[in-house]
Amino acid sequence: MRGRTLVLSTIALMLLATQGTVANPGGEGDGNRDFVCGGSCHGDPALNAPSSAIISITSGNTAFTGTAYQFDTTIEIQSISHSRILGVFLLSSTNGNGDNPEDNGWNIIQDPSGTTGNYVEVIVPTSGVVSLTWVLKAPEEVGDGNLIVAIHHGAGYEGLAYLGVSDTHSIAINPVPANLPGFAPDWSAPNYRVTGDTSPVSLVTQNATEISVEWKLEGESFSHLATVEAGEDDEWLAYLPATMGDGRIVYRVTTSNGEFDVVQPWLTMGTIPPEFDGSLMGARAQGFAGAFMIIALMVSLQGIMQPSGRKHELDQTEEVKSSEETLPEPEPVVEKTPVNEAEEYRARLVKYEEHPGLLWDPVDEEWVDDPDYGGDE
Amino acid sequence: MFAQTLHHLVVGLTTGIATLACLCAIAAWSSNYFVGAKNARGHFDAAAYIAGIAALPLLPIAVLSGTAAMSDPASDAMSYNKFLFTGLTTGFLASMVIGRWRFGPGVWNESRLALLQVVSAVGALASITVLGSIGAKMALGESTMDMLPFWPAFDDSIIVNEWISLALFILGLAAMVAAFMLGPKVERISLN
Repeated sequence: MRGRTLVLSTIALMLLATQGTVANPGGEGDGNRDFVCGGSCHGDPALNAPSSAIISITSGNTAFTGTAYQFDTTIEIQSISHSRILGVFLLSSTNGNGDNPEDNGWNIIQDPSGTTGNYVEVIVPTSGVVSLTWVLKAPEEVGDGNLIVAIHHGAGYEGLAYLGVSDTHSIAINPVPANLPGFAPDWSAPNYRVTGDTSPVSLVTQNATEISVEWKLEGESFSHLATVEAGEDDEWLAYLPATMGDGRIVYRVTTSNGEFDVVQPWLTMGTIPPEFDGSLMGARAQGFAGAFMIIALMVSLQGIMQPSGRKHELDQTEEVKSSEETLPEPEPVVEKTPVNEAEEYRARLVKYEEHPGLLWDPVDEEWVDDPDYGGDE
Repeated sequence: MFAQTLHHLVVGLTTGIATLACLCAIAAWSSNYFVGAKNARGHFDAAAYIAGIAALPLLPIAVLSGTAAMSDPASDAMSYNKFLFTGLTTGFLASMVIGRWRFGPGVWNESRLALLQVVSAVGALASITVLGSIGAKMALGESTMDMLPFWPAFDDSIIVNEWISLALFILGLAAMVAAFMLGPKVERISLN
């Protein structure tokens, strides 16, 4: 019984563990991948189904050894998963592995994402049409080359992977005609430019006496001619407008020498932010400077805004206080005892020896009779 | 790994205490406009003062732990901006504490000084919010400021030459010393 429980538990754990590896419905990102990546994961007939997408290839069937070759494909797809992710492979065979074009002498100069992979993942627009372009360098050996487009995607919520493969696109790789104008073998297209940079793009050619450059922003229909200046030693300076943010510019060079006019593939150039040149010491010094300046400002404002020493013109508080401090001690108040008015009158009368019988009243300034002398008044 | 953990710990303490200081200062100022809020003002004032004093020494510890936690600090605009906003936070918070220290708890009774105190508090609070948002953006890829209809351009910064930064540092230090030494003498304000 215990053994059976152990076996069942082990099986249950194994089944649970498989949940994490069933699929990658969010895609695995751009890169260099053999089709076996998509083919083996979705190889079980119970897990895949043929895609109804229409894959067409519109590139030419001729290339010259070691020169640039533009591969254009258009995919029309009507049924796609809710995430609308479509994985697109550029292959050189249908073997399942070893099918990267670079395994067969091709060299990917630029993929639709601006990097150098044979596999890209794109979001299908609501129109259901996706156009992609790879720029490759043809093999150095003369012969025939094949390029194939393969796709895989989801659709609805059925959990199936839908696979599609285009017809094989054959390219005759011919020897380079003498004096064929083109890019110099050691020149590589710049992938990015700093935002706002208006400096010219340097192009290096061989066998070219004249070039023209047309450009457009990615997604635009109409192209514009760029100003081109001849530099030294087969170098040309193309003045392309500055781009900002996530803007991407595409440009195409036509190399000429009077005998041949070769239209080169469209090249894409993205935009990157400028290089940051701050330093730790500078950041610390600036941080401290900001703190000190704010403290200085606020302390100064505190001094200015504190209650002023000047008083209001009607405020006499200080004067009253100071006068109270300087005044002498008040004399004790002696309460007057009530006296008779007659006694008070008698008290003020003055007696003179030379006028007996009379008293002088200094208040009324008159002589009155002295009652003690015998008179009536 | 330890530096990152320490930085998270210190940053949590610093932002929490500094935010408390700023909010209490704002509440102390607001209490002037509510009848019968004088008692509450005293509590808010004390809380703001103590929290402000506690936050000030934590700020440089947060900077040092953050510097240790990064492989290449100040090598991009976001981390550079953290240094600048730390400076602003320190300046505003220190101004608030200095104002309270110089004038005493009666600082809220003087309308102009109280306004200056609350300006310092709001400045410090705004700087702390920006600091936290930049940190969250760097560590987690998202921040509460994502709710705004725009993301301020914190992925760009004002960078000056190292020598000019040093000159600014000396100028700021001189200005601060001058403000203390040459400014008008201040007196504590009575609570009555």
